[in-house]
Amino acid sequence: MISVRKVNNRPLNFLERIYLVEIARGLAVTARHFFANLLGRRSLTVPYPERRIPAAGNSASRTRHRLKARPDGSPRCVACFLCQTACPARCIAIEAAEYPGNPVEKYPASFSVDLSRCVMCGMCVEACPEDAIAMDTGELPGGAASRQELRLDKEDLLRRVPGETPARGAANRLAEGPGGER
Amino acid sequence: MTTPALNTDLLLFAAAAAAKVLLFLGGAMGVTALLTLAERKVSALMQDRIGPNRAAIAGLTLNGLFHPVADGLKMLFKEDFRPAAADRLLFALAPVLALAPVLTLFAFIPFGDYVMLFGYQLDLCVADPPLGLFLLLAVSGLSVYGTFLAGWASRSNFALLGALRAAAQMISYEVTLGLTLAGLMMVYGSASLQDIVRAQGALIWGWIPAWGIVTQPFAFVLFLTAAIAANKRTPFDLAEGESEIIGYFMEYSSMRFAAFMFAEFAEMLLIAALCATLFFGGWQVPFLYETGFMLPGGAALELPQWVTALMQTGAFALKTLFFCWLQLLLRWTLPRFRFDQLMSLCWRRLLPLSIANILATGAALLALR
Amino acid sequence: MILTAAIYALAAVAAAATLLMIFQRDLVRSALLMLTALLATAGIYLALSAQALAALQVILYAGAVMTLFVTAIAVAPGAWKDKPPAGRLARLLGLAVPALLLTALLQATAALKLVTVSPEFSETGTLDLAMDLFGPLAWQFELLSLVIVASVVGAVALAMNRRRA
Repeated sequence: MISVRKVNNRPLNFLERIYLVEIARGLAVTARHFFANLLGRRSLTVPYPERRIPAAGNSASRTRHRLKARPDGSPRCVACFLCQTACPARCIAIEAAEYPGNPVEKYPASFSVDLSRCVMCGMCVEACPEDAIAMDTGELPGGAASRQELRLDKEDLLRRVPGETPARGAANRLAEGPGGER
Repeated sequence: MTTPALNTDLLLFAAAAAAKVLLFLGGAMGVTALLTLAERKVSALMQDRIGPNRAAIAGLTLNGLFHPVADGLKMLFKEDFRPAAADRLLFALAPVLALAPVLTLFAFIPFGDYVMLFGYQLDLCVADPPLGLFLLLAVSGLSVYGTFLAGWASRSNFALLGALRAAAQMISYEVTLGLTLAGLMMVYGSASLQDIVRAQGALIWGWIPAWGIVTQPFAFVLFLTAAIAANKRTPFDLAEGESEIIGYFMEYSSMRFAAFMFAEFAEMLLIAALCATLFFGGWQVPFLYETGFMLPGGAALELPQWVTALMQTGAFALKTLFFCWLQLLLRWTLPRFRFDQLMSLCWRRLLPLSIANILATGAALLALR
Repeated sequence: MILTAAIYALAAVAAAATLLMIFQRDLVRSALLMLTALLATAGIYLALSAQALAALQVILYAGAVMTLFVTAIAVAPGAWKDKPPAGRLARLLGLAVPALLLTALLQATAALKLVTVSPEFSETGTLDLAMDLFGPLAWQFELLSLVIVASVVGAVALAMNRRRA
């Protein structure tokens, strides 16, 4: 069922039909905005790359990536390449390395995200088995003068967001030995 | 012409004319370039935005003042595309024909009364022919060729359709434009623009300046409407329609396209100058005469002649800028007309009204005599 | 001296444009050459300080008549085709007619006396023109308007016919 709403437009009266008075009223509106802005009331526009404001409200949008860190500061990422494989834009590049004396897991020697190619789809977050990559920094990527600036390295990515309790990983437990914390 | 004295006079005249052309036309073109920026800035301010402010020279942006320069450079370095089937000569000629009449018309506009320089009287007007209004209409009628040839020479059906539409619009509104000016000629008894401006210095009942807006208020509305329509600007911009409608300069790019845009903005300045000249007293400042201010109460303030001339030229510039601003405001306020509305507005509303205006003016003049 | 030079230069432009127009095969181009000739003639009027004539020449011929020509030519289907060179008969005819016109024109000018204008002559403005138009020439002027009314009625009738069809 399509609901139909009938609008009974009032026929224009003479003043409206000659259009001039209405033009003057329209001009008054635009001129008011013009002078208000000219004489100080600044627009809400933020000059973006120089000045950034936090994303609006409790926005849960996907924003710039980060790599979660363990309590000792090492990345939670185990360089399994699942995010790199899942990425449709092929913007993630990982180089894996091994901890000496740790047969359990690897770590990323380098981990880079090319934001100029990223489509912000969040597939890497979905794919990660270790919950090591997240897109919850609240920063909107972009607004850079060169491509290099849009290339995030492991150091740029590795960070904690406020209020997060870092979880320990297999490598931590191995290092602590059987007598360590559960 | 054989005596040396006459030759010096001739040389002086030529030098003065060249200086006036360079100064006034150069100034007009500079303001036109700034108008392209003003269009964007004014629209931004009206819509609570900031507008262009990024173009910088040595890190200095001056709130976007360098954008016309950047635009010009960008246009210069774009590819100059010409359709393979286009008529090469006419394709190159059309932008020139669009720009030339508009720039010519600036010559007729008086930007001041006169100024005494080294004992010589220098008229502040490039050319003041006794039939200036007729010549004005004549030359402005030629601008349709640039528009039409642009569409024709591209050998593109879309561009030709756009050109036909634009030509129909321009020709239609030229008629109204001419008829609205007839009333002014009747009131001021002259077709010379300088004479019309001088006549507007008179006072009605001793205190109202006899500006065109007072004697011909109706003609002003008709003139402004017809002039904006003849210039193909919003709300009558369906000749190009920026993003939606295919216009006559569809196949143009680079500096040739810029020539069309520049012609439009120059004509905007011209319309503003004409509005000021014909309806708002031109360079007249109320109660300011050659010798200084003379208020109706009897109070007077003597001023040197050059101060008067400077104030008059300044007043003309201010009035012109105001009407430029008004056109920008109109553009960003009003929605666009449809083509049938445009034509019916011209032939069924404005044309009869302008003829009625002539009749009414004639009746009033007869009654007042 | 400068004015005389200007008059001769403009006359040369007008003549050259007219000649080129005759030998031009592209219709729109030939219309534009005709426009050039008309404008050059207007320039001659201006140099002879006949401003009203110059203004009217530009308004009526360059502004109105030629615009109509150019527009009508451009939308005519013939303008979009390449035309084969004209046959010999057509060429002969095309040369004969202007030659005939030229001889007639020369005879007419020879018959006319050379009228010299007094050096003080200059058109003073609209008032005198209006006085002439609505005074001694009023009858002829009003007759002219009949022609315009007739053409307007004709145009409306044609348009109505097409709409009905």
